[in-house]
Amino acid sequence: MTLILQSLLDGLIAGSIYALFATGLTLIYGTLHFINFAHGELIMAGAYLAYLFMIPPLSFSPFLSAGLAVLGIIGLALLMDKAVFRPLRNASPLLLLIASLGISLFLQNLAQAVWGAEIRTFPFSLERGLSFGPVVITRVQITILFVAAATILFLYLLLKFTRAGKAIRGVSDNPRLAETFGVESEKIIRNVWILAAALAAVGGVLYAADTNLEPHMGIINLVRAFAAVLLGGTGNVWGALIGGFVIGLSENLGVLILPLGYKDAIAFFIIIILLLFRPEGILGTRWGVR
Amino acid sequence: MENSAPILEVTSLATGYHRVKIVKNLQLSVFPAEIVCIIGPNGAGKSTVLRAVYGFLSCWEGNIRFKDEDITHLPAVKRAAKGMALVHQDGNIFPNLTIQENLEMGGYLIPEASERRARMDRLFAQLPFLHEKRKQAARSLSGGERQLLAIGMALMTEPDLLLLDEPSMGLSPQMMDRVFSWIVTIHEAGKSILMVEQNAKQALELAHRGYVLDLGTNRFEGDAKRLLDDPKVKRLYLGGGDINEDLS
Ligand SMILES: Nc1ncnc2c1ncn2[C@@H]1O[C@H](COP(=O)(O)OP(=O)(O)OP(=O)(O)O)[C@@H](O)[C@H]1O
Ligand SMILES: [Mg+2]
Repeated sequence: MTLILQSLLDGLIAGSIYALFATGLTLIYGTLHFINFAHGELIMAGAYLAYLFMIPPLSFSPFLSAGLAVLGIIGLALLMDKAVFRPLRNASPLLLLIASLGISLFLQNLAQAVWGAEIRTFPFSLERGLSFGPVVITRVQITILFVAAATILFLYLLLKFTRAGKAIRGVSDNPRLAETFGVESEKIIRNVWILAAALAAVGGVLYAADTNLEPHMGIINLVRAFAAVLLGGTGNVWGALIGGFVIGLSENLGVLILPLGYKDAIAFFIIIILLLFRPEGILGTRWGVR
Repeated sequence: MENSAPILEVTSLATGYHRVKIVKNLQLSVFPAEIVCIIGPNGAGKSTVLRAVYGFLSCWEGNIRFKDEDITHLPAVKRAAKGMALVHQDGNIFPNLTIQENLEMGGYLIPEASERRARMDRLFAQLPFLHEKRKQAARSLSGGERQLLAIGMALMTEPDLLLLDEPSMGLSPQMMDRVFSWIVTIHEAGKSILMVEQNAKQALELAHRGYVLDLGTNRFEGDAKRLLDDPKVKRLYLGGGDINEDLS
């Protein structure tokens, strides 16, 4: 019982992070109509950038480091768009996907060249946190939950109530009509990259705080995000959000019955099942950011 | 009407898709406070003309003037700001946005939220069902309600010229009447309207002038009532001609 409760809590924490990855990935899909394989590397680079700010000589506080990392990753995403995706704006989704795969491999290798392949951790101690009976939650984990929840709330308010947010949803729902009403799609696309990059970077930092950093951490998280996006129905932001929690919970509950080594395979497994039986997702239609 | 300058003037327009010319040597004008109707068989290029006038298709030849300005090469995204609005033949709503959000998107170019609100309230006063359903996704509306919403969205920017592509398509007779009578109301509020219609008779009855488009160019044009009575137009484009005419 304790084990189940602890797994539920761990799953919730992991899920809140995956939800950030998945909403960003689905936002890009909703407006640009391709799965950005380099999304994992935005996550990875976000974590490494924060790490760089946290360690000497800079030794910034975790929050400042995370904030700077978010800005850095927004810059990286905008650069990626300008250099690669924008020239391919009217290309087929397959071409875009392959281009993003290229960027993904490039950034993985770059990270490995710069930081080496070894596993690193953020330089703050995982001091024992609060325990509720036998269930333990560390301070870091409480912070993760809090930051993830605040980010999700921010995303919700932005998409639902601001003019810029509604324009994002409009462009992904019916781009021609949005253009008819004077919405400049390039501006909207830039905003979507900013949002997706910020979500990836925040998630990447939280993920590294919960676990650790290594140059290939992007790819497994891309797989998780992709599984969550499929669960939610591609382009459906709130579906992806729920999908993220479903992946987090199934991974952490799954290891109760499966050997630990299979944890990373669970997201793959969900992807295969979904692509075979329900490509439109569990939570509805295929199109549009909602 | 004829002695004032046209609000829209299309001269010798040619356009098409992927190098296939669909529209050629098209002449068209709309005068202030006029309802002009384009009729013609399926595939004649009616929607193509409206798309070109709104800038979704580039002009291969000829030019387009709107309110004394050459807008031939102005991109579609800039046209709403000039005072033009287009209701597409299909795909003219945001299905996953709520009705209220659809109207807000229609008024995207209005910078002040309070002004957007005020215009929306005026629309809600005219179409109370939109107000009732404002929190629902637009895809939940019926075909006719969608059409009314689409026209409402286009009116949010208070355009001088409204382009309507088959506003009555697929509607029940009652809905059709509702749409047509709203078009009259919009015209009475001082707007110029250029519309494409399959229901040629009903449309010509409320229009001032009409153009008959066939094979991408205008074959007949003139006073709407005269087109309605023209035996050739009747026979070729108004569905069946004299025999039906005698029966009705
Ligand atoms: N996106 C497109 N790409 C290529 N050809 C097109 C495209 N849209 C229309 N056409 C072609 O252009 C011609 C005119 O089409 P258009 O839609 O303008 O006709 P229409 O008069 O509006 O017909 P309808 O009454 O069916 O709406 C048709 O032959 C059509 O096949
Ligand atoms: Mg048409």
